[in-house]
Amino acid sequence: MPEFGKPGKAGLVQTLAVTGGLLCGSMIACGSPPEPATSFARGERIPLGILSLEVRRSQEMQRMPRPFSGQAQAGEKLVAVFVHWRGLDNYDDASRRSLIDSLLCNRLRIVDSEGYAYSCMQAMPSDLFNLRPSRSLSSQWVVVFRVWVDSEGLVLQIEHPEPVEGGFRVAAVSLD
Amino acid sequence: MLDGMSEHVANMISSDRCGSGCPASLPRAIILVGLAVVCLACEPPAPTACDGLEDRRYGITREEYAPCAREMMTALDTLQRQLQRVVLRADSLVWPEARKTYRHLRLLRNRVGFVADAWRELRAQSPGPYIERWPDGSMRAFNLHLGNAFAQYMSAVNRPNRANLQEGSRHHAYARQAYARIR
Repeated sequence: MPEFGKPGKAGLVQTLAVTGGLLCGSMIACGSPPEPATSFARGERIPLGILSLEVRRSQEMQRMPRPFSGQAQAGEKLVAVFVHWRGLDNYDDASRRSLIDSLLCNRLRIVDSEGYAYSCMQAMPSDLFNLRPSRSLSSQWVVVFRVWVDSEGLVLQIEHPEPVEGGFRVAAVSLD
Repeated sequence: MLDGMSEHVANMISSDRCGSGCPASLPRAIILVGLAVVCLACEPPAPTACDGLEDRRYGITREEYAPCAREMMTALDTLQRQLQRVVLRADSLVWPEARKTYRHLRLLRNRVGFVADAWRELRAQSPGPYIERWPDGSMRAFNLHLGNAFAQYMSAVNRPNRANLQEGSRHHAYARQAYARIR
């Protein structure tokens, strides 16, 4: 019959080594804690390389203005964020439109006080949102998000597509 | 540095006291020659006008892209001429040159990062990352037609035939038009 005595010194060292290895492994897998977002005030220019953005105001609503079909589901509300962009002077209207559309919907998100993040539902020129005819591409845009109805402390986060050294990775603008 | 290493390897082989007739020197010589070949293979590739673009994620401008686009258009023009000789005049002597030009063009496209573009687009399931990297519509049009011409010419290089050459030439002409807008 085998004897089960007290673990020896070698066993203790082995256990410590395995535990240490697991701890190190999990720390490497989890990575470093996320970098804090850089705060910007409402109306402050946020540089994003070839263009800059300003967050002007936000507005809560239950449904999109007609004829747009989007509306908040039960327990949700819509938040429209009005932004103004500058730059892209060397590009034609079609290029500007596709970049702004892509950038606003992919790089902007709303985070509430509990840490829940909401991605963009739709982005469009504010002329279109207000059903005003416009000949050229407007620099005023609206980004619409669908968030929980009781969410508070909403912050708009803007992710820089190509952060530069010394610059921010994520910009944050309070919507309260 | 590479020349120095090759010289060192040659010295090691020549300084073998056993001489060429000694059976023990043969494996050593093979290993050393193999090492020299590996060192030669590790030589850094020649710089191109497209270097550095692969790392860019956002807002590549016409000024940045123009030299690379010019180098790719030159390679595409050369490849077309070579393929015309191979396919239309059955000049098989030009075929190795066409393969070499094709490989150079493939290298340039890799340096721009088109393969990585495709992966990023697939991962995001949207053209967003590609549009952010290439905000200029004319540059996107150039990339599209260049890619189409490249694919057709690739088929014509692998198996010389008139259909792929003609289709490649069609996209090549579109690429040239788009290039005129961005240069």
